[in-house]
Amino acid sequence: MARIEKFANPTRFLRLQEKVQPWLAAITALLFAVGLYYALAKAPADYQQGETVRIMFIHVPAAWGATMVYAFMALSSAIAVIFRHPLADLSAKAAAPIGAVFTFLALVTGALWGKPMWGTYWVWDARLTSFFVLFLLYLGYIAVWQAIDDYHRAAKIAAIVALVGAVNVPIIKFSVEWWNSLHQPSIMSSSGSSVHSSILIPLLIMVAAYSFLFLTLHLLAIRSELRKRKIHQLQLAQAQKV
Amino acid sequence: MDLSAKHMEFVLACYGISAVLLLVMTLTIVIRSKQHDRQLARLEQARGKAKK
Amino acid sequence: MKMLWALLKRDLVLSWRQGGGVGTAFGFFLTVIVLLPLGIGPDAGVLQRIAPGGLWIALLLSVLLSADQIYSTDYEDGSLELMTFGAVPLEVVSAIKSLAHWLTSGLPLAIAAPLLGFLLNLDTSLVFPLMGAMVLGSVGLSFLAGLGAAVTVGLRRGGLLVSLLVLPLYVPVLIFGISAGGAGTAGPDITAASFAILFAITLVILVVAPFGSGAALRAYMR
Repeated sequence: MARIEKFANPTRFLRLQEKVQPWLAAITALLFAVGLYYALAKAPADYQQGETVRIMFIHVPAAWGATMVYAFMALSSAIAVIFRHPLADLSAKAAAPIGAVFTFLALVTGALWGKPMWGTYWVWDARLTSFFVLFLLYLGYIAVWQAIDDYHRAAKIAAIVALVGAVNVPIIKFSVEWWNSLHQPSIMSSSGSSVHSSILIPLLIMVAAYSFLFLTLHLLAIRSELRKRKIHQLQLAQAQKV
Repeated sequence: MDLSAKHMEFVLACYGISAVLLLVMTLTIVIRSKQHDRQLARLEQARGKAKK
Repeated sequence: MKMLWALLKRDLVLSWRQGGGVGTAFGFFLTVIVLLPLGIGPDAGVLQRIAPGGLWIALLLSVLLSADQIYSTDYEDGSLELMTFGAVPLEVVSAIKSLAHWLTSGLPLAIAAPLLGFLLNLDTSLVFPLMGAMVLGSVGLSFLAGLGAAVTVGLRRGGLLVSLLVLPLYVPVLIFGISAGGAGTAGPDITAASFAILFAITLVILVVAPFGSGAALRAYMR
C-alpha cells in the first residue's frame, strides 16, 4: 500500500511525469521510425496478400492497443473503487479517448483491408463486430464523464460503467464468435498460419510503438486533468472571495 | 515496397488515416496540456499578487 | 423477507396505478412491429426470415425505454434516499425493483411478442420456443435496464445515454436469445446449448447488475 500511496501524491506524480516525458517521447518516436522503416521498406510483400499485408503492421497494433487500453481502464477503475486512489479515476478518464481512437483505427484499417481481401469494406466478421461493440463501450464511458458535472460522482459512475463493461467484454466476444460461426461456417483466420520472422519483428516493434505512444500521451493527459482540476478549484476559491 | 502494386491505394489509405488520427490526438493532448499549464501559472501569479 | 415482499408489492402497485408502464411499453412495441414491414417491404418470405430478430429487437428496445421509471419517481420524491437508511441494502432494493420491472413489463411483453409474431408472418412452430427464450432473456434485459436506469438516475437527459450504455450489453442476450428460440438453420442440440448459455448469461447479469446499481445509487445519494 505504501508504494501506491507514493504515486498517489499528485505533486510527486507531476514531478515524475515531467522527468520521464522527454524520454518517453523520444522512445516513442524512435520505435515508430524503426517500425515504419521495417514495415514499409524491409518487410517483403506476402505471396498471397501482396502489398496489402503491410496494413497488418498498423492494424494489429491498433487492435492490440484498443483491448489493452480497455483492460487498463478497467484496472484503474477497480483501483479507484477499491483503494480510493486519487489518481486512478483520472488515469481511467485519460485513457478512454486514446483507447477509442485506437479502436476506431483498428476498425477503419480492418475495413480497408477487407475491401481487397473480401471484396467489401464491411463483413460482419466476429472480430470486426466485437471491436464495433468495444468502440460503443468506449463512447458510453466517455459520455458518462461528459454527462455528469460533479467530479466525484462522475468518477464513481464511470468506474461502475467501466467495470460492468469489463465483465461483459469477454461474454460479448464469446457470443459474437458463436453467432458468427452459426452464420458463416467457414471461418477465415489469419492467426492460424505461422508468422514468419520478417513479418513478426516489425509487427512487434509497431506494437511497442503504439504502447509507448499510449504511455506518453496517457501520462500527459493525466497531468492535464490534474491541472484542470487545480484551475477549477482556484477559480472557485476566487469566486467565493468576490 | 512497390508503389504500383495492386491494391496499393488501400495500404496508403490505412497508413494515411492512422498517421492523421494519431497526430491529431497527440497534438490535441499536448496543446490542451500546455493551455492548462499556462492558465494555472497565470492564476497562481494573480493569487500571489493578491496576497501581497 | 417480509420487508422484501412489501417492497416488491409497493413497486407492483405503483406501476399498476401510475399506468404508463406496461401500456406504453406495449404500444411502443406495436409501433416498432408496424414500422419494420414498412421499412423492409411486405414480402412474406423476407418477413418470415427476419421475424424472430425483429421481435427480439422490438422487445429489447421496449424493455430498455420503459426502464427509466424504475428509479426516477422514487429519486425525485426522496423515497430512494430514505431507502439508503433502511435495513435493506441498496443492492437488494435495486434487485427487487428490477424484478418488479420484469414482472410488469418484461414478462408480459415476452409472452405477448411471439403471439404477435403473426403480424410478421412468424413460423408458427417457432412461437413457443421463442416465447421460452424471451421469457428467460427478458429477465436479463430488465436487470440490465435497471442498471442503466440507476447509473443515470440523477441526470436530466439520461435517456440517450442509457441507450448507449445498455444496448451494447444486450448483445449476448440477443445472440443467444435468437438461437435459443430455434431460429435459423441450427439443429436442436444447438438450440439446447444456446438455452443453457442464455441461462448462464442471465445468472451473471443477476449477480452483476444489482451490485452495479447499488453502487451507482449510493453515488447519487451523497
